[in-house]
Amino acid sequence: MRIHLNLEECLGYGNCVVEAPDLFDLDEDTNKAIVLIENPDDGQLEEARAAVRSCPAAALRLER
Amino acid sequence: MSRSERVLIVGASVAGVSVAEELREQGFNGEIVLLSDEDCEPYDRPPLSKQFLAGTLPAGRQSLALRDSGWYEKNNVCLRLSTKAAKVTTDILGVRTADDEHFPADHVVIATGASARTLPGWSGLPGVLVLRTLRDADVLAACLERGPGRLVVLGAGFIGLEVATAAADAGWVVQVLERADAPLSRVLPPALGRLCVEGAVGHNVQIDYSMDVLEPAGGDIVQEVRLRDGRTFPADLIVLGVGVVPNTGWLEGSGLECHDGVVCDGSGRTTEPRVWAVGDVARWPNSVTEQHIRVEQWQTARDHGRIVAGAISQCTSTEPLDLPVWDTAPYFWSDLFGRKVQLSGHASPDMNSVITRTGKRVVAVLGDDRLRAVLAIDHPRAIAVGRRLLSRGATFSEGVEWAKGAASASPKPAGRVANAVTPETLTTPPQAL
Repeated sequence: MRIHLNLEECLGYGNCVVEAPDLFDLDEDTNKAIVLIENPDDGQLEEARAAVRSCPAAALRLER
Repeated sequence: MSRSERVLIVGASVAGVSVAEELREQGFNGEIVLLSDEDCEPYDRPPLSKQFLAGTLPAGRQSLALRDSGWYEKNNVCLRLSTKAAKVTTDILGVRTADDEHFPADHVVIATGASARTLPGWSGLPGVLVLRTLRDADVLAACLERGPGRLVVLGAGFIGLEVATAAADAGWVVQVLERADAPLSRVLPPALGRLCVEGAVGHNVQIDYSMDVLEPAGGDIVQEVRLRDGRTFPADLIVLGVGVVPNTGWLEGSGLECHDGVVCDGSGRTTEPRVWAVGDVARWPNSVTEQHIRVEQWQTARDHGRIVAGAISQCTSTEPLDLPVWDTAPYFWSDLFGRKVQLSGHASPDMNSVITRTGKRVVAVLGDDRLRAVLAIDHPRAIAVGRRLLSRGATFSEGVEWAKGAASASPKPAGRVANAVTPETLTTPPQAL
């Protein structure tokens, strides 16, 4: 599974960082999310799903 | 799982839509009917008081849609707009609408949310607005566009302060009048509330406390706000930001236990079998916060949706029940005067608090013997770690130890260089209530 971030949609809420701090960060200059790990391993999938669910801007997707 | 099962969801804001989405995600293949009393497709509320008013949504109004228009049909979710629920029926389980239509169902999910609290003598007057729905936001945005002028906001809560931020950024002269002696006083100890509104001065927002507001005054249109002590504040526009009340009026006589919201168990079950409640209207126990209260937060609505969908899916299977419960620390965010404020856990004004700050980043912990909540400004990573501490039941002193390092910790795991400022720690005693 691969994390896809749509930067146009991202509004910098930072919920993805709250849910999955190992996978995401927030760029302080642009106030947009950064994907730290694009291809989470099996142990990180639950966190990745929680991050996708938590995005109020629906800017995150998990793709096969 | 039977194909004929029908889940009826009453209310189509984030909680209701989340139930539908999670049911499909978790493999429920029965019928899903989603009733909305509004005439527009389901939309997201948090941006209404933030980016919508500021005009910074990437695709304008379209960015507000919870799901794009094709989503409902694609997922076989029957969305009925302009349909107002009037009664839950329990003889034949279902919902009767205001137009006397009856929707029978195997499960009913109550997601009717909350309404902006109004003040007697104020509401409905020209120039006095609230902000809760998209319609409210349209009216407010149109008024702000006609400006700039003088805005008076009643109430220094999150919604009032967000509106103040947006209006001030649009050039309005903004005066916030708060009855209590500190901002955000329903949630936070005074020192923390004041910290959250530090940016107000730089945004040309004047906030005054201990203001005993009496009445609006003026002719056909409101021109000023009068205090009990005789002082007046001129106003071209007034916004009431005095909280919300849960929409439970339609449930009177239904037999459901309601007391400041629909009383639920940890899986969202009400006191009636196969009737559930989610979001702002529902009171759930949370195993991390050890509270059984309504939580008016977006992420909580998402959590409730996921848990109730899981529970309903289990009820329709033949497996023994092992229902999911709400066992994660709730959190929310607010944009106040250009700063991102986030809080996780359950905070209350009478808690002990310790504030740590490095440059613009702030981390604060709140609690009694136990750590109860973590607040961060411009530091989402601290909320991530703070939630873990809350989940494992950390003591308050463990929280304090962590907070001392957290504000100055690098914002990135890769090790970005943070401003080398010594963290300044302030301890505040609990305030007498």
